Amino acid sequence: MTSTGPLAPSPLTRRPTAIKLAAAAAVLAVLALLPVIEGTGRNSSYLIVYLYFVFFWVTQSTSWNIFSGYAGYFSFAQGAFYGAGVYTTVLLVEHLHMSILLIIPIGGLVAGLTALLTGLIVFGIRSLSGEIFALFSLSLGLGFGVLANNVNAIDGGSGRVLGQVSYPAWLGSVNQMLYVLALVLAVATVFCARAIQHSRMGYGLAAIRDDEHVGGTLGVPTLRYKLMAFSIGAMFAGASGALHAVLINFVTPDAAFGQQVPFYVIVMSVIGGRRHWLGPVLGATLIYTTNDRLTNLGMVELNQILVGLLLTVVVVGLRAGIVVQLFRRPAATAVAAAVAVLIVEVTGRGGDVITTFAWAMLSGVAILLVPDRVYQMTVRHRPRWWRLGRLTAARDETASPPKPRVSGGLR
Amino acid sequence: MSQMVQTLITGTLVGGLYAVFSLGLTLPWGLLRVLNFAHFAYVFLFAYITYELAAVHHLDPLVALAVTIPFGALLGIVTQALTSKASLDTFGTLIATFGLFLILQAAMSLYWTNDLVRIPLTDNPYFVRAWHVGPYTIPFVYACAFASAVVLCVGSYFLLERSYTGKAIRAAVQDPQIAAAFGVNRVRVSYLIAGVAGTSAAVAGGFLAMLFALTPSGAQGWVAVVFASVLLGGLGNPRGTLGAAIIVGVAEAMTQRYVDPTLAKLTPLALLIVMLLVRPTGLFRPAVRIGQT
Repeated sequence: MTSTGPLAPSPLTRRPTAIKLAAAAAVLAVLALLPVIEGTGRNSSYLIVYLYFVFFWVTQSTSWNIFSGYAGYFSFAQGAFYGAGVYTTVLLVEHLHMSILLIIPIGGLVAGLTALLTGLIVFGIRSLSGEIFALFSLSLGLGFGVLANNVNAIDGGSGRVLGQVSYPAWLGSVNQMLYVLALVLAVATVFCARAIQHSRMGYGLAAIRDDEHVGGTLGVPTLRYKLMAFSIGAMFAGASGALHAVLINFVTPDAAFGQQVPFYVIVMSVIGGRRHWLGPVLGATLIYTTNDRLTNLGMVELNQILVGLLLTVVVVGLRAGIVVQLFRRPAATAVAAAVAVLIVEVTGRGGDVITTFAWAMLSGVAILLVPDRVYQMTVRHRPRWWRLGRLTAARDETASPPKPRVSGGLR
Repeated sequence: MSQMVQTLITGTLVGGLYAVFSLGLTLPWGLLRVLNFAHFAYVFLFAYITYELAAVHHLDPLVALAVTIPFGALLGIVTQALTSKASLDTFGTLIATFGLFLILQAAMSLYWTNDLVRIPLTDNPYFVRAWHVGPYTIPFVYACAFASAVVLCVGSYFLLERSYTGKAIRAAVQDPQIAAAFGVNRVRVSYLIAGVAGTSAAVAGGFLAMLFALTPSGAQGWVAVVFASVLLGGLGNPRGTLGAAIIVGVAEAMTQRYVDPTLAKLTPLALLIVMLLVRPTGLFRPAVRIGQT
């Protein structure tokens, strides 16, 4: 399918080291404790709303990536699965007053089954190419939208108000409930994506991406893997949509099945990197954070220009997303981010935690986007203490791998 | 019956506009392996420029078209020069040009705002002009769009299939190395194709400005129709694109008239899916088949 350049230097088979496990546990512990200290000190109560949205987009783009990133088929059906989850909540709350804890798995199931059925039809087409699949998936979302607009049992076109949704009292306020459940969903999705990437199925999906015919000939069960990955991804997308319905509360078919979700997940995953589970996580955090900051300042157009620029630069310059570059230059990125935090804090331009975080990420990304040639000129003369052991040594010296050339067509 | 014929006429003429729009996407996709999503933004950019020339500088919209066409060709060539420099695969060009599309769209909404704008009737007398043939009405602007579709599509057909240059183009697409050994300058050849594609963007933009109220986000609304025409027509096949665009236009007009106006937007995609399920090879042959792409 789409060749995205050589694989990340981090081998697929590596086991997590104790340091990585400890880091992941620390991050999770901080995130889990945040609702408890909500609104104290410098963190406003907006912080957990912001983080809810980060978790939402991480879940959406990671679930998209399980199929579309690993197998290389670009799906625009994310909106259909997300919307299916949203409308599952709407209908179940309206008719059965179910608890959100029950609705989320049902929403996931509905979306997963939709994906399974679609996959059975679409993957049966013999001359299915990536472009054709993209159009099919696009029409799935549009078709669902028309369906919801015209069938009164679902919506009928006027939109639905959700009202109160029941949930267990120990989850706290509505915002805290949303935060905790979104965190759980995001962690589950990312964990699942990681497990798949490192499994036999992950290798199979990578084979499908590189050359489906050869993979199939060598015994990769391409149809089964594609169906499984497509349905698993859709399941998480639907579950996340079911939860998101509680936040939006006023649901319309155009918003639920519109192009916003499929468009953003693709942008986030492409910028982050589609071949590694960490890619969509980084991409979603980066894009949502800048989006949040710039939209708050009323600079919607500037945000769109930034996203477009980032997309073009990453695709042309890095191809495999920022995550690959991050593995090559972890120390320099961390230093750049730390310097940015320092400058923002000293000059007092930060204001709140999110703005500081946004500046830190943007300066980290700026380091990642420096071309290899320029970067190596500076790195060659770096002092000894700069080389932080195994993290950077040896990797920086390897020149960037040759760009893949595609035969056919005029160049 | 007369209603049926009128719908057919309208559909065919609208199909002409679709064909002009689609030509700029299908030629680079089929012949240069560049899927230029920014084409949608280009068309709207030229629509806005035509609007600016006509509404602000009071230029005749058809004269404005003559002004924008050279710039269209130039823009197409610049795009081709940049994308060939980046040496991406087809999907890579799609994503990179999608980034460009976002940038252009944001720039347009910064300059022209998101409000709907339209050339006032005093500056655009063609909008209300129409020919009446018996009981039927033929709107002047649509007829012009159809005529330019025929000129562009048949012109590029002759360029591709009937001329010596066309032979060189097809050879260079099928096997760049061998073609180069026979003296085909593939850079020049690719610029020629990109120039035609850019011209189509300028022409389509001009007619869009004469026919519709413009807003930058309107560009998304054309994606389904244009992709349907391009894929039904066979990649890089100008005659096929014209035929497919007319089929799409007629199908859309029929749905709008006889079934349900809300379903009209879905018609092109439905048509495309039915075609893919029944006849996966497409209605028309692609201009050039390249081994496995």
